[in-house]
Amino acid sequence: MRRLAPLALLLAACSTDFAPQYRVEDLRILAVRSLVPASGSADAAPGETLVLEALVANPLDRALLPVRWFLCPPPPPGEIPACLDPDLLGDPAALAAHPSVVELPSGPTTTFTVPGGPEVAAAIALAVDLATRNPSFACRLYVELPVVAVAEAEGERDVAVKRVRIVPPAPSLPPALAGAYLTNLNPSVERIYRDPVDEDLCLQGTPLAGGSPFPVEAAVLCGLPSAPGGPYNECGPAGERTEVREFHFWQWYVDGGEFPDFDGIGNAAGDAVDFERPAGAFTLWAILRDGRGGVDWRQIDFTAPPPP
Amino acid sequence: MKILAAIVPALLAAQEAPPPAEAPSEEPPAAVLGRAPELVEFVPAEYPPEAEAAGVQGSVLLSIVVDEEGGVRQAVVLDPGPHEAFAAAALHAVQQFVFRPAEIDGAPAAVEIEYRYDFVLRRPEPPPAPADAPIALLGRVLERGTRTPIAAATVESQGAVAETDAEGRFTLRGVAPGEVFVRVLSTEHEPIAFEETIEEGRAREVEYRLRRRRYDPFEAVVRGERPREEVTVHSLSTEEVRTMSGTQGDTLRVVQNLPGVARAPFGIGLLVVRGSEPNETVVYVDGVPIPLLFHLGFFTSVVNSDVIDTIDFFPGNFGPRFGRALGGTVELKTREPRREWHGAAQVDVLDGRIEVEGPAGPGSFYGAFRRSWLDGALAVVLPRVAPDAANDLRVAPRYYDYQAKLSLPVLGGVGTVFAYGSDDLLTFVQDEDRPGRPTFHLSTLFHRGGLSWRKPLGALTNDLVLAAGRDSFDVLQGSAFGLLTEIQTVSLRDAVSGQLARGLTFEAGVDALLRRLEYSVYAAPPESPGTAGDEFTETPTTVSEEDAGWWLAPALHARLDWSPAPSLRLSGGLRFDAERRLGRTKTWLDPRLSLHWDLHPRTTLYAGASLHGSTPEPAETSPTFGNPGLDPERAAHLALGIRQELPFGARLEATAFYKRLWSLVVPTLSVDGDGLPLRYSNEGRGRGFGLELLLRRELAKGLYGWLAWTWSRAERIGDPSVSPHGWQLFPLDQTHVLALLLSYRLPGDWVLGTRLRAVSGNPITPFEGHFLDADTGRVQCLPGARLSERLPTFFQADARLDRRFVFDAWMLTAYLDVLNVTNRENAEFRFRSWDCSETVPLPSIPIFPTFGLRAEW
Repeated sequence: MRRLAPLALLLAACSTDFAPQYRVEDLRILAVRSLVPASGSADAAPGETLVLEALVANPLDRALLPVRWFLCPPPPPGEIPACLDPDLLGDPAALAAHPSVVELPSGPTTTFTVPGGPEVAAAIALAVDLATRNPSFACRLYVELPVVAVAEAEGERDVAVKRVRIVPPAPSLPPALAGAYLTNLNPSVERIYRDPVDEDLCLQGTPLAGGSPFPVEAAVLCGLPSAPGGPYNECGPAGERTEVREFHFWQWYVDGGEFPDFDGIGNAAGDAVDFERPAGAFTLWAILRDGRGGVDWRQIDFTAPPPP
Repeated sequence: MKILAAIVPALLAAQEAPPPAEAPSEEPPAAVLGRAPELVEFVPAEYPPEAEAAGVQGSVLLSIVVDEEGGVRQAVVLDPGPHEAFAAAALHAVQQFVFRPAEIDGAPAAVEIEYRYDFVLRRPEPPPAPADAPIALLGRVLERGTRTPIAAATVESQGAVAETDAEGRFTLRGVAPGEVFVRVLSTEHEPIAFEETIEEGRAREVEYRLRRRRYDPFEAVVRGERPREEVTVHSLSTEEVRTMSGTQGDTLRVVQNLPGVARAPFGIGLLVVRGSEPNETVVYVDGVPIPLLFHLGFFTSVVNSDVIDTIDFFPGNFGPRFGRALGGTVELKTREPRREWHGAAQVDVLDGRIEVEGPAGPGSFYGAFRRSWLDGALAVVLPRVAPDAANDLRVAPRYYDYQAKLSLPVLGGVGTVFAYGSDDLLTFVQDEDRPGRPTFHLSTLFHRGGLSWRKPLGALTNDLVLAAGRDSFDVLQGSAFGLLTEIQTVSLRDAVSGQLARGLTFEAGVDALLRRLEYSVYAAPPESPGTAGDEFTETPTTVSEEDAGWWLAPALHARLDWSPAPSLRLSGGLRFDAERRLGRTKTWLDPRLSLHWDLHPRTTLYAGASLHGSTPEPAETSPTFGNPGLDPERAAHLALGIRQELPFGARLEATAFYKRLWSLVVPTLSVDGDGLPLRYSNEGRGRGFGLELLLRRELAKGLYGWLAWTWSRAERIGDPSVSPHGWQLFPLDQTHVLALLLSYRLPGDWVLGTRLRAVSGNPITPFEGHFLDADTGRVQCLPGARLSERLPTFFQADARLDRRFVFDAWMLTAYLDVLNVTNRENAEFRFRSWDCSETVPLPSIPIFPTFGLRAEW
């Protein structure tokens, strides 16, 4: 299903000559995932161990420094967290020096215990109070914990912000609020295919594997999740719950080749996309998102095709 | 040949003006022109000998100010006519005229009229036909195209002469039987001759149609000079601006080219007045507020130009009868229906419209309707050229509007029944959309119906307008946002005005609104305490709210105008507003002061100082998404200016203004005593100052239009919790706004027009990097100094050509209106590269021709 292609064509009509967003030409963070190893959840409760992982693309093989991680506990009501302050996001040194910022261990992944201190407890208490007063908020009963990832290599730098959802422990919730917010699990990429017979469902295609040349000049790429989108609730004005399924959303990146429908502004996105391979070796990144902060990805490295 | 000067038999303006109470004027609506000035002592001008010798005839068009005592205070030549000596002779004569003064609100008042002095070479007086001579010819003389009876036309044949009466009828006696030539002469019309066969003993009945020399309806304009409280008001006659370039047949667009109004991006219908947000300017139709001015905020105006008489635009310091606005006020006045059957139809690339009017018992009525073509056109074209898009675009942009008015004499006054409304719809639907949550849906409609009654009560005049209506505004954007609102409104306006003593007049009244607001909304939740904010998240989770409630907003207003000397007019007013909404009552009091001082008969100094208040938008007081405890927003307007009348009907106005805004509703991160988010506060402030110049030549022969230049600066400051950077430029601040609108009437009913605009670029914020929002996968820009740079200067030239074809019983006008004739690429916004390192301008509208046809009968 290439439903977004018309929109992409519309945007492409605004000819800009900008490099397309899908082409990774230098150091970039493409995604950040949060994971509670014990449960596979993307959301965490205070006191749980959480792993953050960054997908860093480095097509020029620069000497990559360990990814730096910063955590901002919820600030007092009425203040912007330092991790979301645009002035600090442009200056990681200033961010690191900010008194409210906690620097986590560096590396492609970092593991830490979700804080449960007074700031988080107060924020959770306020969120519960708000949802109690207005049941419409019950389906959004979590506190966001902003985290900043900074990748640096030979003077190049890229920054990403992720907001980890901290959920209150279920036993602490009033009965009327329990079960309204469903903890989010990260989606999972089953496989990436080319030229599927059914583009909408990504069925009966040829699986793509790395370590070999991309087999054809042009193809339709699609991704297959391991499972359909998970459920979550939406709350009406009186707190009435409607179960909704997550909508899976694919983003595509390469360091060579073209997604011809996406030469305008914006990501190359969609369940199935047209692709034209480059002459040499290249890497393909397919990123799967569930719209609620959950993410998974697949990276496939293709070698150069043999000379004709 | 004996030669003498003659004038048009009566005062043109008084004769041809619409019913006085509704005459197009610069007076406020409450003013009633009870009697037009009447010429009681005519002084003939000397026919200039050199023109006489050359056999030149012609007319001089003058603007005359008749004072309260009937004297001529001022006379200005608008059109000097075909001979250079005519103007001086006419001026000398009219300055000696004596009038019976006009009456406004029952009291003598100064008025400005247009007067044409015709110099006609008089032919030898024919011998009068015997009264008992047989009737040879009888009939009527009408004007071609409009079918208007022509009074005082001369019908002549074989030396026999007759003159038409007010109905255009004549009876010609004493013409011998046989083939004869009949000549028909009228000062307004081109002479014409017919060959007729007169039979012995039989009266031939005929109807002659004369072509008007110029089909300008503008000669009959009566402009009240009644002292008014507004220091700056730009009044536009619909006929004056109908052929302006850039209007595309929609006269209301001209308002956007007046001083004090910023240029709206892409020409959309926003009114950004002296640094105020578009929603801070209120639009009234005959005193009743309406929720929007243009269909879908972009296309044509919601009120058909055919039924609009005048457009009054107040960029600030408006009088106490207007309220609930911090910016400006626009008042559309609909015209009175004519008692003869007439109509008009117009088609262009966007829509078609029709208007019919005629007699109705002792009164008259009109009805007008307009509907867009776009949906029908796209339904035909899209499936052929873009089948996928056709599936998604279930309803193309579709709008319609209607206006109806019935005027009758009622209980010694003039009663009116009116109805008008508008309905806009735009919907995109995709297959996977959830029920009730289409990809995009926008629906805006309003209906109004009501009664008005204007009646003199002795020395006073009472104006009553009672209206009821329904507004609906629905916008749905997929699963992320939806707002459904339904508002029922009853509005009441009643004002009494009159003269208390010589030089002392007053107006007092009530302006009340009763509304029932019902809404349902779903949206991403506002920030919860302790969360990181949703500024750049994209969450599928929404929260909902639905509620209904009454909203009562009564206001009392009073104004006293005092003229201690003929050259000085002072006006002081008070407006008391109250509003009860969601169980809370807010009140505020606005004093309004103004001064007009005639430094010279042609020079007036004016100044104004006033306070204004407005209540928050309904969404801002929502318990879930807003703050029910918000207070009214406030503004202070100061203005000082000078108006100079210039030769040839031109006028120059220079106005300096200063505006201060406080208690503005702005987003906040603050929390209440329980630690819950307030979401909005009254901590916003604004300030602006500027200078406006307007050089305007009103309708006359040949060239008309205006040059408007505004130099200004407007700044805003938000709540300290979200806007720690201090004063910032207003996002639509434009240092220079220059607009030149000119139209020129060419011989042969051609009108050529142009609009030239040069405007400073809007402020923009530079980018200083980017970061990845890892929850959505989107890259966001890191802003640099807020609004510290500007887009390039906007420059655009538009052109328009109108041609009118006059037939016996109707007229056809064709026009070509071309926007951006040079196809210049002006930047409206910026496209940015994905990493925010580069930007390119998003160009404004390219060359865009509009062709239209308009028939009037």
